[in-house]
Amino acid sequence: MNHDPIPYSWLEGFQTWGIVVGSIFGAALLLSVAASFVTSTVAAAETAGKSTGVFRSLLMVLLSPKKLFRSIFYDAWFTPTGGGKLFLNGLWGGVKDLLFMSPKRIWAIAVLVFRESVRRKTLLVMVVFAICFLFAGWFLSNPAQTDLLRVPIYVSFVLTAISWLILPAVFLLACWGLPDDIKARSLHTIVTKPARRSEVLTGRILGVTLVGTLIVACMSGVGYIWLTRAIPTVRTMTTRVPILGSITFKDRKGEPAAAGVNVGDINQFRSFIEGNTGACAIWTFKGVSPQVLNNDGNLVMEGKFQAFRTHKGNMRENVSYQLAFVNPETKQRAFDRQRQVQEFRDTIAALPTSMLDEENKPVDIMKDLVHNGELVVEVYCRSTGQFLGMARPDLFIRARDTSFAVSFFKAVATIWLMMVLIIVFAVTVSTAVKGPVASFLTGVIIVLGVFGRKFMLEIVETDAEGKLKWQGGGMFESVYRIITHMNPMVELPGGFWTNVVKVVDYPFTQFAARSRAVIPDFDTFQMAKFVAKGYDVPWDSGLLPALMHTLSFLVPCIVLGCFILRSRELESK
Amino acid sequence: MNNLTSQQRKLVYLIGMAVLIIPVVSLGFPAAKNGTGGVLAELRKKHDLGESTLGDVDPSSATMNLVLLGLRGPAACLLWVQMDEQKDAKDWAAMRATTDSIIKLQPHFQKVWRFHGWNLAFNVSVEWDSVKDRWFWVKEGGKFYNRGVKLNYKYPELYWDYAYLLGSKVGKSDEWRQFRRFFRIDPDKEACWRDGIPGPDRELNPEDEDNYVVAHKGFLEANKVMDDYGKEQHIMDGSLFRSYPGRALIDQASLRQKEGDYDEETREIWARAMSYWRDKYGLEEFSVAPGIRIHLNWPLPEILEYIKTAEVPPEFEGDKQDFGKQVRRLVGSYQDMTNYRYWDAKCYSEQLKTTLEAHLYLSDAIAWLSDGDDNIAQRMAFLGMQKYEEVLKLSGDTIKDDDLAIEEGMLGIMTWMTALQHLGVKPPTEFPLMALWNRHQDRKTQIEQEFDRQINPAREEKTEDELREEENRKQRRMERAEKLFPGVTKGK
Repeated sequence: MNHDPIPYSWLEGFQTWGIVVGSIFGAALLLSVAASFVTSTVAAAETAGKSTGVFRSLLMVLLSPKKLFRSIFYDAWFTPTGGGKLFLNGLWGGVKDLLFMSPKRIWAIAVLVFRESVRRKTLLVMVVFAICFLFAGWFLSNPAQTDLLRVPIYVSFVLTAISWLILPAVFLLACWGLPDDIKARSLHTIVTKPARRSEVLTGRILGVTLVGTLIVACMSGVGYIWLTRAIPTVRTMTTRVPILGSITFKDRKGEPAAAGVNVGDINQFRSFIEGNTGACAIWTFKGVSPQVLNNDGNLVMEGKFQAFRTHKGNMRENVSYQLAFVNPETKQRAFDRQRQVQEFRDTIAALPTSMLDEENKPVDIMKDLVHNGELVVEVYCRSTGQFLGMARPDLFIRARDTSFAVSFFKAVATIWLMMVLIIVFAVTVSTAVKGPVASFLTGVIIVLGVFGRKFMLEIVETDAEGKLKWQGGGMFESVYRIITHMNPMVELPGGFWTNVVKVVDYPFTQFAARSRAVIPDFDTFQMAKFVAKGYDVPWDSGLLPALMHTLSFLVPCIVLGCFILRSRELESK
Repeated sequence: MNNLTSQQRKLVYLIGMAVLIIPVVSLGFPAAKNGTGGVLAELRKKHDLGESTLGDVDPSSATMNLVLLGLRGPAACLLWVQMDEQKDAKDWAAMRATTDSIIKLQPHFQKVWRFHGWNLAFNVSVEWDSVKDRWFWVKEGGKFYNRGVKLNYKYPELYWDYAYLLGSKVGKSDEWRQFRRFFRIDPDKEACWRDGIPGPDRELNPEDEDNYVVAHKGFLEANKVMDDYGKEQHIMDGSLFRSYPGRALIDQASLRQKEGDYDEETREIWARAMSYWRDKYGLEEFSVAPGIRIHLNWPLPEILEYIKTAEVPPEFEGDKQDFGKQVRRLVGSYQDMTNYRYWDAKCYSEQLKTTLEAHLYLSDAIAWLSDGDDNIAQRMAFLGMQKYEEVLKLSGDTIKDDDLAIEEGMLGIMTWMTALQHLGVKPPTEFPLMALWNRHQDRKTQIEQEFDRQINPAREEKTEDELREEENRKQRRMERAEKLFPGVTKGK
């Protein structure tokens, strides 16, 4: 794996979600309250026949403490047009809408949306998909290549094709459906019946989701068949289920270190240890039990290390390494035999559980070296003067494999979740604005989610000394640098204008960074990185984050969409 | 027209269409295989504007370019960035696929082929630790160039790159011993061996030849493309570029000697190299300055004759003396630049039978000394020294001052002296190559290190084939010793 799959953290997830959703709803509530009060104040003034315009009426109330007090504590609550009363009524109506939704009515609306989508020939997107697959073989890898090299490319192609082709179909349906219904007044036929606004919204989301689900199901089925036809070995392929541990390092003196050595490789994913010194990488695996052993009762460890030679050395042999199994409690240690690095390939070692420890006494890995389900594995480089590079996912215990089809369809499931998220987002946006604007807004969110999120984080990231990592500054500083042809590495000259540029840039940069929280992270749904490399899509760092990501948008979007639709005048086109 | 009936109007339109179709067909008729076609097709062919005139047309590539509607430049740039990122992340499969996509977008852009071919064969291959893996990527680079050549058969640079890869990367890199072996017997049994019989990767080595033989053919092809299509190359000066077929033969023979193959076959290669160097390369004409064309195999009397008879170019404003001076200077500097005289002397020297014998006896002497047989070693070394002295006399000053020649002679003397020392015999005051020994005492320490290395070679684990080959060599060495000094190998 060339990435580190981080397991989903429930606490962190809920904390972030709570803060973001709480802030947005808090702000929305405050705005609603303020708007209600303004409306009621103006209405009161009009009722009293003293209407002199909105701003003047407001000013008069605000300048007189007596009037202000009366407006807030009496008029707002006890007059028929009181703002507080209106606000509470609206809030309660919305809550009722949400609480008493009828599944029957939602389903009826969803079926209607489905029929309407089919009528609009949405399913024709599958023709485009078919064309892609008809000619894909022309443009993909060289057929002379081995299956090992072809599988990642073909799998990535299928999953990417599904992701990108499903997007425009559901995106347009979701963005244009409600505004079109409002424009054509066909929504009137629904809202005049006993159907709640929340049901209209949820029904539409469900309807578009059904259409999308049908398309995804067809595409993934055809994609899988195409894969098995293009590379027949796919049928018998399995995917690995890794049990990942945590990693720490020791330096050449054998002292604990934060990381290994940087050998100057541009890709800093891996950290290196020096051969035949005290340096080693230490993996701690949890949850190790006899269930992880294979059918022959062996412990299967899989590793993929990178070699770095500082001298030519022995060209006939690859750089070698050795594993040591350590009991975390008793520190009893058993060494495996030396092995040679098979670079950029996965080296599988089915280790018998019985070994000899350092004093040549027989030990059983499961009985003697695993303590409370915890097993420590140290990795040493055994070639003097050479280095061995490794990262956390480079060594794992391989549990029993699962079939390729299961992993493939798990990856498809995450694409489906991504589709649902886009539908939810687009339908919610379309409750407030017209089709073109909704499309534009959703499109911007998708583009930001795919390409901009990393950048939005990078611009505010600081190093250990608290200095910004990003070079070149914010928007205005960049403009200044472009005009003056100044390299981003060069410090800005001190002075008044530099301070002005920095001060002006600050809120924009911070806003961009903070906005990141409300922009979906589409990387969460990309599981091709697992399947293409022959790994099962994990639950804790694959499916669960994708599911939670979708749910985290689904709930607030439905609430927000419901309130927006309730407050919207459906007569206006 | 308005007076015409509907039927008449249709007839007029039909006649108009028939008339117009004549120039359309005449202009746009596609080219036939024999080269005939419409006016546009012929113009395209005449000015080399058609894609098919550059090389084979890949339908997928043509489709992709058509679909992109002229955006292939930006698309290729984006893919290039992606390829670089994949390379940094060491995602080799993806990088290879992206490279193929770039090539589909730019099938006739020579620099793209050159960059990526080099990238695969040199940059990617060294990222791998196993020599077999490195070999795989060297082959990928070679196959990539091969594809480039098929799609662009008029670019001499691509032929040259391909040949250079097979010559220098296979024959001169750190892993040259393994690579040269893999060139003949590929380690990928499943993909390359036929019916379980060890063999090469036929895509690179269809005739199962030495890597330098294939390289020699590639360099010849590059030169031929320049001659046949009047194309220029943009890698180096023409005089150097044209020397590569000869250099490939020289490299092949040198490497065979380095591998211990001092035999008639090696001597023949040297003879072929000399013949090519003198009679082909040496007689080629190079335009080196306005109005001045020279060749490198040009003895002084012939130069003087040329100066006397040639028409003085207008640049010299009738100054024949200045013209003569320039011609002589240019011939000299081009001979220096291409190292023409050295390689000429080297080829001459090495194709002599005496040289072959000298190399053979000196290398045998070291091997005997390494095996601990001082008697045969000293006799063999002395014989080698005698032969070597003869060679130096025949070869002239150029070889006498050659570093390799000095080293070989000094090593021979060291072998002889060491063997005598082991036997407790004091070396005589006069011996063959004594002048060389005395002249280069300043280099003795450095050559002694090499001597130690050869006497005590590093013990490496060897494959069965290598052990068998070593045994054969030893057997042949014994036979030679027995032939020269009957009875010396008795009991060995």
